[in-house]
Amino acid sequence: MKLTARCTLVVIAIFCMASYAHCEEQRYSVPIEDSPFYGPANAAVTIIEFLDYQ
Amino acid sequence: MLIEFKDSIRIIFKQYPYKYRDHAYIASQAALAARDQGKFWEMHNMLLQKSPRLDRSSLIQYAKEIGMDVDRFAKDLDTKKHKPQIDRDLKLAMDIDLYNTPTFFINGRKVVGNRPYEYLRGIVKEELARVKK
Repeated sequence: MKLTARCTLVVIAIFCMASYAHCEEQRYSVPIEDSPFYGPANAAVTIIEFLDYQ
Repeated sequence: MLIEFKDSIRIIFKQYPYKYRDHAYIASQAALAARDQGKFWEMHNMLLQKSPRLDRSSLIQYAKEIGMDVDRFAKDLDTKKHKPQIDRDLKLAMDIDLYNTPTFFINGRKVVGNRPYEYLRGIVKEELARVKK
């Protein structure tokens, strides 16, 4: 395989890996404000649920 | 989940009433009006159980059943006391491109739609393991 083709493949592979890692790590910062809650403020896991009652 | 992970999780509720559903908005108002009287969980559970029967007179009946001050409750509904908070939650949802309910953010990880308990449990366990590292 020619060097140029190899380089292209390597670049594509790096791009794909970077995209995957980005998706895996994507986290949203959602402000809690004064919304109703249950559980301790220092809980290790915070779950924010958007809901519709109807 | 609250029972299984008792001291390790906190759950926060944001209002996202669909505009095309007749009683979604007033139901959100009812939940927040109940919160003001220390009855959020009772009303929250009642709304989930009784949905879609969530018209004004039904909501007032539910408020009676869970021992709320009904006059105050009705006034809060009629004056739309909690509109600013509901509209703020709706704006927040739009800002983060959220169009479905329920949507969960588990330590910021977005999970859209109804999911089996085991699926959500798995994410919570991953997050607990990550925090402990």
